[in-house]
Amino acid sequence: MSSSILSAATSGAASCSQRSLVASRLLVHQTRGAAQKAPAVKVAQSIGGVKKGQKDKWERKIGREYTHRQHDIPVFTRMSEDKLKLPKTDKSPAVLPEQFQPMSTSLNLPLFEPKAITRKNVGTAAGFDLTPTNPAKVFGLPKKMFLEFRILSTPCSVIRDVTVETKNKLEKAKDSSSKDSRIVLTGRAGCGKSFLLHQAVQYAKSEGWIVLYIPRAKTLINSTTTYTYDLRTQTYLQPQASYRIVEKLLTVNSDALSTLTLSAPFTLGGDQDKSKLQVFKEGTKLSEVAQACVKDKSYQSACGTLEVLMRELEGQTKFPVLMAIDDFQSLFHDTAYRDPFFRPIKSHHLSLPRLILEYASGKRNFAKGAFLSALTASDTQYAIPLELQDTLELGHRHPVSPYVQRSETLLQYASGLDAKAGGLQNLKVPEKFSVEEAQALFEVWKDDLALTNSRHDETFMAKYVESDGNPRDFVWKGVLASYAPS
Amino acid sequence: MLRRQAVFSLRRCYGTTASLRQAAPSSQASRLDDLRAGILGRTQQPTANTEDADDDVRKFKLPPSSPSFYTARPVFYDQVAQLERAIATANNALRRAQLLPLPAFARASLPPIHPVWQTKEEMTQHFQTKMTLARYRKVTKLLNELNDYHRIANTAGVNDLANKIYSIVSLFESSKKDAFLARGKRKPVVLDVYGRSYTVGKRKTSSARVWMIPVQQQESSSAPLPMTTILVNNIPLNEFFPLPADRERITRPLKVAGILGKYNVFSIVRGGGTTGQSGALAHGIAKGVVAHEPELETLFRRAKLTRRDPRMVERKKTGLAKARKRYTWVKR
Repeated sequence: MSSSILSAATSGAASCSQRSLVASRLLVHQTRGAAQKAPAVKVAQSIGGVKKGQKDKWERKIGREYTHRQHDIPVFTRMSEDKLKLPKTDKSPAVLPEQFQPMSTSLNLPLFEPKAITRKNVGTAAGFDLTPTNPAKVFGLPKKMFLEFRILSTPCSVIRDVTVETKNKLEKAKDSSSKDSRIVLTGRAGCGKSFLLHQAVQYAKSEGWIVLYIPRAKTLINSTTTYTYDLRTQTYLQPQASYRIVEKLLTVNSDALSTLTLSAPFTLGGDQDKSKLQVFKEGTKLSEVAQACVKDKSYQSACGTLEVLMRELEGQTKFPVLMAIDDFQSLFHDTAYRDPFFRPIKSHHLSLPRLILEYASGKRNFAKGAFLSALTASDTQYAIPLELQDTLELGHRHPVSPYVQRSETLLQYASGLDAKAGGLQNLKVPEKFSVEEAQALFEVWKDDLALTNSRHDETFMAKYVESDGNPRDFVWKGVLASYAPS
Repeated sequence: MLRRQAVFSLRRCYGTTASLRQAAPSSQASRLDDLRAGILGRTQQPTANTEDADDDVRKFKLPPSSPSFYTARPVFYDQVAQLERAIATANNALRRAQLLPLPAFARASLPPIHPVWQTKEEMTQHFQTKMTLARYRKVTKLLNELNDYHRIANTAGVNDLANKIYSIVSLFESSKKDAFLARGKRKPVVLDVYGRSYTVGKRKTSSARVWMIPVQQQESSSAPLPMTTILVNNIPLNEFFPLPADRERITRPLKVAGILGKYNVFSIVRGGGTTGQSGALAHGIAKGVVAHEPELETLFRRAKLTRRDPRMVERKKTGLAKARKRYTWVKR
């Protein structure tokens, strides 16, 4: 499991060369007869259960798969030098071009830290730190951001004036209940809402907040994790998803959680085996509770643990808590889960979306902290619902009939978001990059050798005009999509 | 000269006024009298009172004003005669100025003048006679020769002669001359009160109406760089054209001219699909740029930006599956 850039780079280089050797050995031209006679490669398949004596092997395999699926910030690894050299000719040997010489080009960006987010620094790019407990590394990222960071040498983003605005809002929210600081980031598709949310998460983490970041809230409702009906709460619990959240919460906020303690005794465990129940006394560290839950791989205790953790975080005033949700509008849709009558389950009947909606609507609050969420305007499957559009006054593209049904429950959740009634604040992210911000981002890509054209000024202005200043279009359909030769 | 000859011939016909009075018989005299009365504007029959006047007329019988008086088309022949005289005079003058005969190289170097003569209908009014094709050709042949002399005189700088010839030639020029000469040429685009240009671009079956206005740059340095905004059907460019290829096609005229932050563009596009609409918009923008900056006209023409792409969808033909695609060949 790669932990830092250097180790990854060296191992990558080494493994590349090793792999190439192995590959060359395997690329033996086989005749048809030889291929037929060759023994079939045994593929590990668990159809009908694991065979006797194969349990360890199977568990190791599962373990590897699980490791592979972790949301690591992808690290840019350099190709081996042999592959990058210009091929040798009769006259000249293989030459490594100057741009690919090690350390000839590197993104020298200032670090994204709280003191860097000032009005003076608006229009400068800053890179994120790459520690193992970075929220991006642990919680993951929205897909487009993930892909972008995979291409870039260093994960970075531009400090905009909305960044400064959000920072100021969070500073004010530090000492007050989250009921007063429930913010939704809105704006046109591709205007930078997810990036801004991510910047807020990074800021909060640097400032010592407890951070719970859900980058893709639609994974909670698209039926990719398990669900069970709980008679006591009369909701559908999501054990697997709850487990993941507890684990990530622990990884990122381990220092803070080890300072906080339980205010009431808590029994860990599911309903299966009464003898295996673990009782935690009052005053136990929250990190211990979380670790015990993480150890139990059956996910049975996850929901209860998450619930108790959230209750404790609500009550404590030592650390401000930031709940950051991206894809927020998806929680207002019917989920992909089905009930026994094959009807789609409503989002507020699932434990995790319900939890998020309760914090969003102000029914539950952190004593100190904020609730920050971002909408995704470009998702056609989970479009921004009418309830949110009406409450946040987002405006309609096309005229909407008053006879179209709005769900009462969702309206109740959304009405808690009404800014006028002291509810959710709508923070409008500017649709366009300012020219300075666009320049900063352009220079990042230029320094990272993304441009095929040497006429930088012309390319910059043309791409800005073509994308109308829209951040996503400027990068993906502008800088990265043009093949104009120099 | 012609006139003198004509008068002489008439005198021979009629003799003097005195011989006329003696020789004419009564019936003939009465017919002549009628004629004379008609010419002189008298409508009533000659009475006893007007006998003296008749005697005066008989005494001082004037020849007709023009020798072509007794032809069926006096005005026509008069005009033709005048033209022929003018040609002769001009010829003489040019010969004296040693501009005629003109060597071949000089003739080749003369600037082309495109005369646009009046149509047959217009000349019919002018000549007061029905202009058949033969008559029209005769007249235009004379006019062309005169025009040629005018061209030579103009080029040589013999201005007074040239002006005199032109004064004759201009009588026969059509009123629709400018329109005719400007046919097929692009109408020059005029900027309106606010400095906006309005141009139309077309590609395939799409058309784009494009308004371009210079960006108002603020005095304060709040905006470091002025940027072009392009609105298509009141929608920003990146929302209307999602494909990078279409967007690049549209900004190409601005890139070629190097004026990417200079003008704002508003357009209404109709018809066709994405490629057609983006091509039409690019065409309109190119024309608008040329309207604002005429110095770039040659550059744009060489870059084929102001050219209306003539490629259209080819029609399907009978016996073929599509425009070019043939049906599967079957051996039997």
